Amino acid sequence: MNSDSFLVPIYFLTPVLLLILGFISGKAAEHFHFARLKIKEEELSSIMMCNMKTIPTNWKLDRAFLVSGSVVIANDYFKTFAATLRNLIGGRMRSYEALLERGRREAIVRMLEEARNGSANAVWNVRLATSPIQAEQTGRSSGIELLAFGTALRAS
Amino acid sequence: MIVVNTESVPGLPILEVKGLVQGNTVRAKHVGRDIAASFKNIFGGELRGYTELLTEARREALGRMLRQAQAIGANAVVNVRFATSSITSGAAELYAYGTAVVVDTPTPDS
Repeated sequence: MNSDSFLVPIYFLTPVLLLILGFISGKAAEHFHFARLKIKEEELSSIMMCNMKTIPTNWKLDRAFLVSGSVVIANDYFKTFAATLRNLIGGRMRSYEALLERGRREAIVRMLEEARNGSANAVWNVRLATSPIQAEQTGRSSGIELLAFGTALRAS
Repeated sequence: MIVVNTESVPGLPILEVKGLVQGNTVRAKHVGRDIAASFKNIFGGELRGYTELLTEARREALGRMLRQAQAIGANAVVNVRFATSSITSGAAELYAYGTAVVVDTPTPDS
């Protein structure tokens, strides 16, 4: 009998186990993240956001400073696998859409929190940037960075 | 030093444009963070180690840009932009650039 034969079930079971683990924990993480985002966005809704460069001239401002928020976020094993399959057929990659939405909203929330700490009432010229982090040997990226930045304004 | 990403500092007229200033840094986390991040690829969620890495790298790049602005005698940097690019596995380059200017009256807070 081959001495390696006991390894065969491990080869097959490990990916299956990872898929199940990824599916459950990824679903939970996404659910709680969206719930948390909703609360924080409500809290910060008093701060006005705009991506215009020019500031209304009739505003009396006593402070302007740069604020930024960033987050690096990764998909779970199951969603990465599902996306690989989707790549064969083509079409909407829902799992990545949700990931980017979470990341972008989180980055904006962090930016607004920084603005609130400086008691600003508006953030002007908001810019959003996305970049993949860590291109692995396999070629797929393990994380996506989302960055939001802008000029926080405090009106007197 | 006033740092904004609008084209002018609100309420303070620009007296003099000193030119482009820039700062960059390439950073990596220790292997423990990289391993932790690869686990996050199974479970999904935020890669805190990398968020931290990029936040401090961005601060570093911004700091270098500000030092450059100070050296040429500016008291504000307007139109600041950030760029990130991944160089190799687990490392990222952060780049900050803006226009150094001299504005009329500097506010007490930076």
